Amino acid sequence: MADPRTPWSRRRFLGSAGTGAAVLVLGACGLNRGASVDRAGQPESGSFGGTEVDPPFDKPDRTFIDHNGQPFNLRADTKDRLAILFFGYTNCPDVCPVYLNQMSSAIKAIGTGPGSRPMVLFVGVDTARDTPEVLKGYLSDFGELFIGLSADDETIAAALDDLTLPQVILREPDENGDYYVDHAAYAVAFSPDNLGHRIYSTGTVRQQDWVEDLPRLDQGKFV
Amino acid sequence: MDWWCSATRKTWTWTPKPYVGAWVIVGALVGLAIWWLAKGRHKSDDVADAGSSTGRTVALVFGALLLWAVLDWPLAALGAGYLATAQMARQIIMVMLIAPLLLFAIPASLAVRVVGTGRGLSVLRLVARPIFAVPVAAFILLVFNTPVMVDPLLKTPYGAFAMDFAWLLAGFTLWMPVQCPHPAVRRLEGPAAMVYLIGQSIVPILPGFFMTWSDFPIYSTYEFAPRVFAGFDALTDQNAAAATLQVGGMFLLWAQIAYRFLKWGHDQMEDFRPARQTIAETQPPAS
Repeated sequence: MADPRTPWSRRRFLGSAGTGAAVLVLGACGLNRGASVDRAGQPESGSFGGTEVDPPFDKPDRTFIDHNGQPFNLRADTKDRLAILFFGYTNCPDVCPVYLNQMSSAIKAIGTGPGSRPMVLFVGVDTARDTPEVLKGYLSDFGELFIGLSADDETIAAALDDLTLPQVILREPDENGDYYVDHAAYAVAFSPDNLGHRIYSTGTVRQQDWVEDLPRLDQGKFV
Repeated sequence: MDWWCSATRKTWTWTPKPYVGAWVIVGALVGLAIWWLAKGRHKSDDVADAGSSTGRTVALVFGALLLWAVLDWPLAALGAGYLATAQMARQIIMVMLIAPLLLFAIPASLAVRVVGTGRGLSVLRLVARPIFAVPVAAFILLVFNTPVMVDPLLKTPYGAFAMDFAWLLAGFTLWMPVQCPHPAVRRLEGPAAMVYLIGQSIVPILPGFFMTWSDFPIYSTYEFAPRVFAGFDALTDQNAAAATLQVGGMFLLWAQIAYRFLKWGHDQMEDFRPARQTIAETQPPAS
């Protein structure tokens, strides 16, 4: 009687290896959830990124100076628009450029339709260096939807308080006079109903999450 | 001073930051070679070596230099925490250059001394079979390129070390059928080796596949990494990484296939030279 093990073991080995490889490839493709998002703004149902805020934030009724030197009231000038508010600084070496790049790429990926034209508000918390001119130059690479806002320390502190976000801390300058600024690494998404229903930690939210969430937020969905 | 690279999310600087582990490994490799030479083992006639001693020395020097380059700053630091492109370049260099160079550099007598002729040799014979080597190497490379493995592993030096070790292991496995240093293991040579290498070219395509076709950055490590070059965003980096893996891997592989083809052609010519000379001598001169 022939020993069935020799031919079978090789076949079984190849079969197992092939199955394993196929599972991995399919699993890796499955990670790319955004590939199934309709770019016209009809995403598949799925969970949101970030965290739901309940009760939602009201928009801080604070007036800043935009990067063109014009007054910008957060409540009035973003009325009925999808607006993403972030507090950062132009000399930030890590969190801010990563967030802005992510947001810029996400908006490009959405293309047209709902969520494709959010107001991306960047408040410069380093009031000594983040002047309207500096903000304008800094944000010019990211597109016209990015709006730089500056204000005095009191206005920024009050806006952060309104949103229960941590206050800004200026670190000690080094020998070259450069210094870091500790700031809240959160983006607050205000839906067209003028309420902030979701908050996103910029250290964990992925570009894919923005691509999926912005169209839904623009359509008034937040859970 | 860290012992191995890892993803830190700190701002990238061009200030050199050597890794102790890289120096220890490369030092151990060079130390082993010096010990081997100092003991005079390379002069042993017990076991015939394939290739010249000079060729093996050159392979060892280049293999050690490349190993140092991929394991130490800046390439290791860039690859572990900042740029997927750098990481894929490291992978390709490890799998397609360092592994075959170091396998070539191992003298047959050292392989016999380490592996012996018993059970170790049986295992080596199994590993040196293409039917084992290609699927196993492809599986290791696939596993160690999936985001669910890469992102957690890169967070710690231990994980990043495991990943580098796996890549080298995959490289050695992949090249064993054509480059096994043990004289008692039959290597693929000539056309068979070339066919094997052509078949092997599928391996870099597999991990690069999902990087090429993804609409978003698939590795959170590189998506959240502080940018090294302005304008070189995470998705562009990912596409460049896929190109590095696939085009770079293909280039290195086909360079070796071309070398083997030319060498095989040359050997064929040499083998038939006496016969051609005999024919030429027996033919009457044309009047």
